[in-house]
Amino acid sequence: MITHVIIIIAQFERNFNLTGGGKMIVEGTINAPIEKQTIDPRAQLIILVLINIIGMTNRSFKMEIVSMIVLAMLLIWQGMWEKCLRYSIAYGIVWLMIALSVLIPNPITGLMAMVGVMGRKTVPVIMFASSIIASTKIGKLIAALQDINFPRGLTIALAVAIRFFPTLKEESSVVINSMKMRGLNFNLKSIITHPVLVVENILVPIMMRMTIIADELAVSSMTRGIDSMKKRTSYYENKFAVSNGLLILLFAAMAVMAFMEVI
Amino acid sequence: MVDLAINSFSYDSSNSVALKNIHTTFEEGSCIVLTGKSGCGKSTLLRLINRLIPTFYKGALDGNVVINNKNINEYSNDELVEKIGSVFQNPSSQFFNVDTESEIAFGCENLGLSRKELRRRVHGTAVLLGINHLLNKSIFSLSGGEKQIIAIASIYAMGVDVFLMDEPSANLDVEATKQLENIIGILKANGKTVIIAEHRLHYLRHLADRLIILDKGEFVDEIHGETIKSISTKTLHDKGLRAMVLEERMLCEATANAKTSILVENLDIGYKNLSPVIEDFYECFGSGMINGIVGRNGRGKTTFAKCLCGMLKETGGTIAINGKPYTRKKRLGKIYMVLQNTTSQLFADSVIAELALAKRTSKEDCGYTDDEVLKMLDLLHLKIRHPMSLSGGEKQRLAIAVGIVQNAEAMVLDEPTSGLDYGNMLMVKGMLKKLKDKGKYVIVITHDHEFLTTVCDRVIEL
Repeated sequence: MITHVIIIIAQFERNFNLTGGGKMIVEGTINAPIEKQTIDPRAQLIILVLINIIGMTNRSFKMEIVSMIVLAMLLIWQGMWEKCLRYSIAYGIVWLMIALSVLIPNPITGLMAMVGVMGRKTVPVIMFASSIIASTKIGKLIAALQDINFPRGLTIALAVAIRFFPTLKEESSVVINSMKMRGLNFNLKSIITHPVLVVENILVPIMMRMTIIADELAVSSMTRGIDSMKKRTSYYENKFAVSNGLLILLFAAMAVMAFMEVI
Repeated sequence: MVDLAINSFSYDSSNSVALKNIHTTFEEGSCIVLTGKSGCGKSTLLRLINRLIPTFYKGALDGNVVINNKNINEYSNDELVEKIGSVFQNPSSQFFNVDTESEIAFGCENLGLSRKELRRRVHGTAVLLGINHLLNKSIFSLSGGEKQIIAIASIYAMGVDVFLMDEPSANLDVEATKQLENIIGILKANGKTVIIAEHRLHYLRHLADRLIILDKGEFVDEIHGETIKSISTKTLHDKGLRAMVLEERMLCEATANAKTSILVENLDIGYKNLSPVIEDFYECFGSGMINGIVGRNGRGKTTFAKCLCGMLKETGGTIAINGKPYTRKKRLGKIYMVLQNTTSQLFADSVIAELALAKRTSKEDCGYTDDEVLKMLDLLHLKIRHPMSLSGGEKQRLAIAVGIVQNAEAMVLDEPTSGLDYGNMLMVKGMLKKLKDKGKYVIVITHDHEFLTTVCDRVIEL
């Protein structure tokens, strides 16, 4: 029912071109493509907080499933089919682990159940957080946070952190590949038998690379006035669309219901 | 206009003097090239002009930097970034955004320009630099050269007068370097001052008004205007500098014997759901020669190298070493890759431990003692140093040492000379010759044309 509402809103906005939340405003260029649906960064952050609240307070299975479905629909709405599928499978596995511990109770499945219970709480949060990282233009995030007078230092720190995720992913894959080339295994067995060694092998080179890249990035943004005292403007316009407000209301309602244990 | 009156400068982190006795004026609208061996102080000079010294790097300066008749210290941060713009060596780590338009607008956003003005600047810059086709794209889809041009566009949009570039071509292929040359020409034609610190000089031949050679922090020679075009390669090499004119050498097409070769047949490589990167590829890399692989960014050089080294599974075809086919898993470690950033492939806490680690993981004996290998690569005096504390060149040599100890049959080197001066380039050349003489297969991926023509016996275009 709720997901239907979202889809209807989305269709409506697409047809009548009402969405401000994410359309690029480019005058006079022909090559402006139709963007995927995006949610205003402020709304995304508020929803992220609400999802955390739901996760922490909720004790009802029904509510958990509902919130997972809503999240899944939200990702699909933004065109992230693959991401949605991946996290849904992860969520399924989490439940499988819990189910297994109930069916065959022994120490190993008990351990799995522990991981499973943790996963139940974290998968939805990570799922939404990763959709934020994938969908948000950093310039837009900075502008949005500035509009609500978020401190500049914190804004920049947050923007840099998000900017670093793809780099981190890229650098780790290079390190893992070169470990393989050196005959150093990176698999479940090696992680269990030599956890400290594996972490050390991966972390040291990555940290070294990260410090270099962070310095280069800092220098490049300083020479372009990142530490200017002026109020920063934004190339993109952030409009808080109706759908964004409705989404926040929806999640807020779910958070309240979870807290009051309505369902 | 930039007036320099530097008696001396030294970094806090070092005892030696980084710059001394530099008194000169960089005129408006001119293109000045600073060159010299690694560590000669050319980057330091740029950092004094964009005030990264002392805001980011600390040191003691005796002297003055004057920009447009006003001492640099009298400028506010905002005023300075509107006057002086900087482009750096590594195209991928100077981006803040993931799309090109935001990136071009980034500096102007920081300065608080209105949205209307931002749009005007971004599109004005794109028209002037001829890069309309790069607008509204993901940064990750751009080639190195295109990234460098976006970096230039970003500071152009801020309306700066002086462009400082620190080895802007270090990661660019031949085609991209041409694009860079073209853009610098446009900047010059628009009355901008361009100051470039570079090792590779050939692309600046028609642009440079002054070629300044630094050594140990001092201006030791200066060549002006027309003389720059006629300077001989030998004169430059004698000074330890790269050539101004690229040699057009025909590379012999040596044929290889399948018994002693790496034979690649009908190779297909692709990522799922995407069209194959490499299709039905045939190549024979012979032993006893240095094979160069060239090709524009995005043609699959790195993908091919990854597959060759067993980091990526081929979707079809075979790779055989000395007549015996090797699966992906078996190739791991047999064909060894020296990465461009060797930081990512060193794991132990000392040079000697690094070799011990290699010995432990490989099943075969390489036939050399540790000391022999270290001596061969001039690392013996660094035995107990932590790999991360070594210089770039030393790390590179250590990575090669690991490959030798691991008894790898072949070494694939990815851009081994990016950012190297002539002397260091010759060192890499010597090293590859040694590997070749030891009977290793040597494959070099590079867009350093000068290196290619002086080192490789054979060139394969992808």
